Amino acid sequence: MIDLKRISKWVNVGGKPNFILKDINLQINEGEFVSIMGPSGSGKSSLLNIIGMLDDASEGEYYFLSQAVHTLKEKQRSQLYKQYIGFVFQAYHLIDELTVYENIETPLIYQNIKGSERQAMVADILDRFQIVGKKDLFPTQLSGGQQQLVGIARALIGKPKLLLADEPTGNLNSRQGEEIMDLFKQLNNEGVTIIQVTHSEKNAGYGSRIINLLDGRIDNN
Amino acid sequence: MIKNYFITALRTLRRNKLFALINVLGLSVGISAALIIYLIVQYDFSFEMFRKDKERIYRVVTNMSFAGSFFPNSGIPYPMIDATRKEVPGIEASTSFFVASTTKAVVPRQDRSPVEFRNIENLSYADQHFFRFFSYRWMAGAPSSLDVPYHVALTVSRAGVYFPGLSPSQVIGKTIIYDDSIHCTVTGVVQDVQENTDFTFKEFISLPTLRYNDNGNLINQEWGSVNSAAQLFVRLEKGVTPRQIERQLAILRKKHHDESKDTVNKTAHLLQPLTDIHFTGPYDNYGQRQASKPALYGLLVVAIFLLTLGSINFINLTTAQAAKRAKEIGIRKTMGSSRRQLIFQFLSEALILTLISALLSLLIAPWLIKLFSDFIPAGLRLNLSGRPDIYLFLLALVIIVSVLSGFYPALVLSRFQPVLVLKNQAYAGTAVSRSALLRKSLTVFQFVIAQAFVIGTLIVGSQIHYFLNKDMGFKKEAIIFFNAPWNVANPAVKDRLLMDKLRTLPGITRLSLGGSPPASGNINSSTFSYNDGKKEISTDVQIMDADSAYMGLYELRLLAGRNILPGPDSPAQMVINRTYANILGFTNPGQAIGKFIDKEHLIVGVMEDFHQASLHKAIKPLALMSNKDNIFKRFHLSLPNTPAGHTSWKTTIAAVEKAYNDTYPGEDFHYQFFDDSIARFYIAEQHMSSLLRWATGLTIFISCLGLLGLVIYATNLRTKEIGVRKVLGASVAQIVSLLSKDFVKLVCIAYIIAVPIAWYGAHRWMENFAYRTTINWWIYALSGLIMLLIALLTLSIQTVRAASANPVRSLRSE
Repeated sequence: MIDLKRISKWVNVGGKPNFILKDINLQINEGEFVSIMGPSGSGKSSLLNIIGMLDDASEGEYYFLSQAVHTLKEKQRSQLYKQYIGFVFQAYHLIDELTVYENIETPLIYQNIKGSERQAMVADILDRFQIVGKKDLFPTQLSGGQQQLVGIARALIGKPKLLLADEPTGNLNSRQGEEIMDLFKQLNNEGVTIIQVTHSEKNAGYGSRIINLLDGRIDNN
Repeated sequence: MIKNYFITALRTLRRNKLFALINVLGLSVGISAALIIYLIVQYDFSFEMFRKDKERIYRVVTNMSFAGSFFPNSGIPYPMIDATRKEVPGIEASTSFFVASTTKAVVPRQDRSPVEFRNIENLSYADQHFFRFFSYRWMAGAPSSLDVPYHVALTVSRAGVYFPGLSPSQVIGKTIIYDDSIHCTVTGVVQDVQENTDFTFKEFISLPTLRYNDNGNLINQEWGSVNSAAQLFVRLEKGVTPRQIERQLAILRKKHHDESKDTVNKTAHLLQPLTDIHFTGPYDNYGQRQASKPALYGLLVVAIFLLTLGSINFINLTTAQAAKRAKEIGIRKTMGSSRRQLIFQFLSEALILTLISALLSLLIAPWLIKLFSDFIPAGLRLNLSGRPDIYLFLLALVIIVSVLSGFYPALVLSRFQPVLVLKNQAYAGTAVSRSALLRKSLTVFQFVIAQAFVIGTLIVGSQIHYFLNKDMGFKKEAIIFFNAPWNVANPAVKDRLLMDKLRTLPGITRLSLGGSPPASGNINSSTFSYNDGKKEISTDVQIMDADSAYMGLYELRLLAGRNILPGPDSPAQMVINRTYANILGFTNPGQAIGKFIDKEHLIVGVMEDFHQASLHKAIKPLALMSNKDNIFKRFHLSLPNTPAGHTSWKTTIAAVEKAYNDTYPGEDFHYQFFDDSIARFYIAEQHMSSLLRWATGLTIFISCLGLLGLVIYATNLRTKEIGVRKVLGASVAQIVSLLSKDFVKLVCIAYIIAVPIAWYGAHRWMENFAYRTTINWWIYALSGLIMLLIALLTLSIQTVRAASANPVRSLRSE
């Protein structure tokens, strides 16, 4: 599903390149649950952003579902990730001005899905995550765990093949964290490929594979 | 999708109530001003626009010049009408009519006494072409009936005045007697013109009637005589230019009236476009209000400024808050939003805000219309029903303003990179600092305009003060004057009769019977020559009709010789002004005494120059002469100018009115205070001054709203810094000055830019006047101080509060 070949990412600091990622080669197959681990500054989030097409690599090739992402134009790329990728963030990143319902609905709007269909899809997922009662609340009225639940619901609403999570439990207490990880496990069992960035060995244990990053390189596979 | 845009927009506005309020206030002031100005401009530019082929219709006017002075006249010599029709090619159709002065009409009735109508206006003598040329709708009768003398056509409304309750066809055949002598039969009734027009005639007497009955001497068969009442309109054939016809008219004139030997006097006939008649210029429009094109353009500029300032507030406040919105933008982008969708989202926010402002402006407009009352023509109403164009205009305005104000912020905001935004690095982005520079420039721009308006207001105000208070060389206060009726039998005898009556009245200190007062719009001039022994000196000299009391009443200062005295008619005595004496070559006024002008006028005195017109114009050569043949006499009365005297004015004037009515029964008494009539010279400037005052007020208001928004934003951003500084021991004053410094700098930069612009503008404006006040440096200094003070006051609303907040709070919340 994902094939990274010699991916490097650097920023210029004082005229000299400062490598964030260096020579990353990585294949991830459909249905995997991969955890990316490593100390702060090792490039975990950058790798996730590149896989999520939010950011460009400075060098290297990236194939997603056999399409050469590094050659695609902005528009095609956004088309691709709109269709296949969902994001979950550590800080939830819900839109404060929108209700739970509207937050979950937003990706569907950008995918030009019709109103009636959107309604059905949102209702479905609210039901599944058991947050129907909260649908008219605003994010600030929810607890952290509930917000992250909405964040995941929003990431899944478009039925993505790949779910990218950047420390999804980082802002949650352990009980909430466990619930989220159980949910991930369940989703993975349903066939969703998941890549998560995490600091916690315990969370990494939910996955099928662990990738350790150190100073921008894959440490051992 | 669109619904989603609007929901987000509304929620964002609700969340930022203060900023929304500032934006809405600024924009609605701008929009309502624009709305009213649109109404005014649309009204004035709609005159005659409804007429078919208007772009091919011209009025033939006359430009005469006598010895270098120009006398534009909206009429033509009478014989030219037929000559043009017969001899000038390229004219598709033409019509001529004469504007008749106010008359009396009597409608005889069967078995009952006739009804009399006094002061009938909107009367004309028209040929039968008139109605086809200007396409009137005939309700009864036919235009051809006006080919016959003593026929008259009425409009429906005028027929209703003379013959209430009768239908148009019943009115046909009735008789109207004008000025007791012209018996006319009604042969037609036409519909009144509903559209905006200056052709407000309601009564059309057949033109041939004039040939048989011309009391007012309207018809003069001479080519050398031009009557402003004689109107000739032509419709050119397609493809013919007005210049071609003007050349033809010059040839025509030369053929009938060769003036090529006359080097002093020149006459030319020009074509004035029909659609220009409504606008101020050298030619009149039948006594209707004329709109000034420069004033209308000035109003448009004001409207554009106010709208721009409102839009700038939106741009500034939105981009200032960009960081706040950055997170939302990042999320939306990762959710799959394209940049275009984001731009539309932000534009829809601007649209909603502008829509709210537009609705609010409909509420403000009736109130604001009062402020503009000086500029609003009497025929104009703010009538929203039945005016779809108003709604279309508002809609267009809303779209334009929302795009203008929303587009740039939308570009800036949608440019954010989601990765940076989500990592909270958006602040460091270059886009933000660039928009900070833009914000500063826009704020400077706002204050340049506000500052320039402040300076302009002060300068125009001081020029008006100068106009009204300058010593014009004569006495202005406590003098009233009124016209003697001229269309009565034996006017001279009656005038003397009234003079005798007035002389017996107490409360009148001086009394004179002459022509116009020393400064008036009426100028009567003649070319005089004087032979100093070596050469002839020909000068265009203004003549003022005066009796021996005139100089004393107006306190004109005699330099040499004596006043005009009652005495023999020949030689005619004249008192000339210093300017004329200088032109004639007399270095000492006394030398002029006893000299003859044109061999028949004897110079008996030389007086000090005074301003015989408004201060727009320079002092011209002038002579006071007693003119017994002048039928347009005026009575001049000076009243006691003491506090005690003022109380008696009312009774004196009432007594004068009684004497007037006894002398001229049936005539209306209208008097004017001389100083009021002087002030009326400067009505255009007074209007400009009040427009400037309002424009200044509104621009300051909008600009300060924006400033307030920015300072609120800046202090919010620096809450923590303020807290830390306070903990470290900064005083409230120090923090206020810290917060205000950046903004005061902008206001100062604006001042530096505005001063040369305002100086140049004021300079150009002052060139309109022959006599102008000197602009002192303190006017500029004062205007800067005023602006600075207003800005500081605005800033203090927020800075003082922020500076006196308890630091513990702000630091804890961080």
